[in-house]
Amino acid sequence: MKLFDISLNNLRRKKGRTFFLVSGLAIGIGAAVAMTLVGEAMNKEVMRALDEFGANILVLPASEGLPLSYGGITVSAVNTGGRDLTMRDVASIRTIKNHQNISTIAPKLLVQTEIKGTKVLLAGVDFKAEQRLKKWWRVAAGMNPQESGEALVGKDAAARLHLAPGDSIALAQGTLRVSGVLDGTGSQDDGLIFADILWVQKTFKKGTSISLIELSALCSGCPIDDMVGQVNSALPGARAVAVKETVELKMQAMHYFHKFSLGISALLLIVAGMIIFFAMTASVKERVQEIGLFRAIGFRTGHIIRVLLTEAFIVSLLAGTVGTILGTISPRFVAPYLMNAYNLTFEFDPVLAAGALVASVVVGLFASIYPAVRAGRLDPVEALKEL
Amino acid sequence: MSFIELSNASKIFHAGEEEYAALKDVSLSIDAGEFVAVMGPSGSGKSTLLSLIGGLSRASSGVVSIDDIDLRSLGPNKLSDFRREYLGFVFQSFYLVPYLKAIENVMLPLTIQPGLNGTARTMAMTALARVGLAEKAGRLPSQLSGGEQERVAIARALVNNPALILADEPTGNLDTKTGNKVLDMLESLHAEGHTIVMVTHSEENAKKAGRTIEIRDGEVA
Repeated sequence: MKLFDISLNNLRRKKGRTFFLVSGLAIGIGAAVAMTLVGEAMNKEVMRALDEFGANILVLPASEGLPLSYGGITVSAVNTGGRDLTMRDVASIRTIKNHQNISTIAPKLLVQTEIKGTKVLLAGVDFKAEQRLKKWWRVAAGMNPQESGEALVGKDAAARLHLAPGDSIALAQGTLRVSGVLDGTGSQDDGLIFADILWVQKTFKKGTSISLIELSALCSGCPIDDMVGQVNSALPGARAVAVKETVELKMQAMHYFHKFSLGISALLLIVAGMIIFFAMTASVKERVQEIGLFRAIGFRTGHIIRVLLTEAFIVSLLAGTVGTILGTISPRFVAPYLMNAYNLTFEFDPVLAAGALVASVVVGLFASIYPAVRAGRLDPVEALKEL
Repeated sequence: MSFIELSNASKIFHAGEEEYAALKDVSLSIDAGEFVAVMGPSGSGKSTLLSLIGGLSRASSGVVSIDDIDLRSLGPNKLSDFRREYLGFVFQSFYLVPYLKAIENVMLPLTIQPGLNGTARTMAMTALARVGLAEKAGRLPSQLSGGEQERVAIARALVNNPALILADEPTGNLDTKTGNKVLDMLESLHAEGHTIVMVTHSEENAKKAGRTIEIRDGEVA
């Protein structure tokens, strides 16, 4: 028999107390692991949702031109040198190294035209890509365009030009039919008329030219700046820029979730540590005579501390293992009911598991040091009251 | 020089600003191989005397030496080592560890003894056999009678073959028949050459010892 066996036998033969200790710490560790996993999964989900919400990379011709504002971004409407973007560039974007991170590619051709004597900006778009990109678009009246030659009109443009679903728009180059009017977005879109990009290219004799490309990149898995660099390499003569506000918003959201889950995990570990501390203190009190006996038969202070810390080590290792397993499995079953989060995906994270085990052992040992040292310093005569 | 020497040994306890002398200038000597009974009324200081001899507490003044070792000169770890090498304790309340089997209780002093290399279990079984409990080695203390528990405690006290066995009211919690068996065991240990110091209230028990030291009000009467 070694000192380790004394610790092990105490734990084995006091099953109720051991179960309580392991459970207390395992719940703390499990909750911390679950919180971290849920935090990470929510983070990914929010990032994914944010990634799909608006563009975060804008591709423009590299040339200097007359400024034309679109969505708060200055676009060259008339190219005075260099080359135009074309539909071929859209295909080239799909070849970049991080092409799997691209969620949506929305090319646009912006042209100025006149309707009823009023100058307006007509945007040729791929309606499917555009609606994926602009999830906030709502058709207030009418419906989405079903065929080429149909247009969606921004709220302000519809009011100014007195347009309603079913109306025809006579342009110098051709005629469009209004299929629907957009609800107000508070953006540049309110003043625009949107038509199918192929119709605009053909009608305005623009060939395959486009004015700009908006990209929605799933940037949670890669640095956005890398993707901007890759697009710039793939499209010589074009200029890709990151829409920093969007990226920063995403990073901020990620940061908040990370801090939140870290804070809750730390709190849970502190509570678990306190459970161990009070349980170990109570255990030492309960075992005063036993410790007095150990001292009487020659155990040094260090031997007593070693016996108690070994118990704490075994308990915390066991609790860490159980807690990590529980914390890894439980979110899969609990999250859908508690958080309505059916889309969250939880993956086993070996680094998190190893971290949880280490944290459990550190918390268990740290919380037991004071009671163990106190026990080691017990006066044997006081402990064995009959002497 | 005797095996156990106390020279003007005093033990003073402090309770706030008040002092209480449990032992006052006690001088005595016990030779190696003696069986000595320490008698006296409750609170006379006999258990305090046992704790000084056993190195469980230190004398407030005076000298306590065992086998020419001045216990005052030993630091806490050396004092622990001294207890492990020289002493076997038998307590009135047995103090068996409840979650350890009989053999594991007997092995306790050997767990911290270096160089045993797997012989500890054999030594513990031999000690249990000596007290007639070899067949109950695998039982927990709660599965043993009071007499059996005391015999396990005696086996634990003698497992490392200590020179000195200190027994504090070893029959105090036992019926007469079982108590006599325990005393017979102490007598046989004495016959083998162990020095035994036994605290007792009972004159009958004291008669088993070769000499009786009477303590009254912290002094040798």
